[in-house]
Amino acid sequence: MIKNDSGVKSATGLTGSGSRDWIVQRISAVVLAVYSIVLLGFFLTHGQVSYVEWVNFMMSLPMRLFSLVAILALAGHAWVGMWTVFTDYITTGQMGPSAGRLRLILQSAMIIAIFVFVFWGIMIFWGLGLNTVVVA
Amino acid sequence: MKSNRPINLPLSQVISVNAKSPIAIASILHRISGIILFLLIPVMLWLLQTSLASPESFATVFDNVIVRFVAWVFVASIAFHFVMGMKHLFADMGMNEELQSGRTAAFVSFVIAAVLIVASFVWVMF
Repeated sequence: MIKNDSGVKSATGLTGSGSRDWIVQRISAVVLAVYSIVLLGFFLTHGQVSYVEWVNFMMSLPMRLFSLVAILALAGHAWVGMWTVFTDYITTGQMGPSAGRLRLILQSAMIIAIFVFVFWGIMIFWGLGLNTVVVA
Repeated sequence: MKSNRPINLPLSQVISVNAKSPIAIASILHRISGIILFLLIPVMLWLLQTSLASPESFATVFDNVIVRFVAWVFVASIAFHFVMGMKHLFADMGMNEELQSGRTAAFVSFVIAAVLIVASFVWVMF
């Protein structure tokens, strides 16, 4: 079975292993699903949310930890998902010989964006200096 | 394995074949909702940061109807991606993989997702 034209494994996947990417996709999906349900539950049980309620909830230690896990899960999930989309649609079969270069550019941009999102997300929950105030 | 299946069909033909299958529609919309979610991550991080920054910014950030609409697009995309993702996880466990059960699962998922998307519109926009 020929994997691609060069016979070289894709270097832009998350883990370099299809089965590992697959399992990362599933585990991160479950983490994100539970995180979504927790946030939905908070909104459904609080009606009109006040600022103090919101900050106290999101900046509580359990939610800061869970948010950190969710940010990392989102990074892995988005990486594998976007990689799949790019490798399925930005192909030489679909758009000619320039596809490889375009795909590398798009995937590099995607990876850089994910690094920025991870740093930004961690700064919101764990950083000082992004105007985040913890209300005691 | 040598396969004689056609490759590089014109897009119009791909669409006309797949538009007949709720399973295929669920699949491509799952991807599209995922791309939308990826593109909206910076907007939602900004919204999260602004809502946590101060009582004033918390109170005013949702006054803007465009912000509320984008937030709804995000919530609706999550709802859809969530429901189709659950369908996918069940399929990973070997459930609803046959043609008829797969169609039924896709149809049920559409109904659940539609209810959530409409409910979230009322919730976020009003």
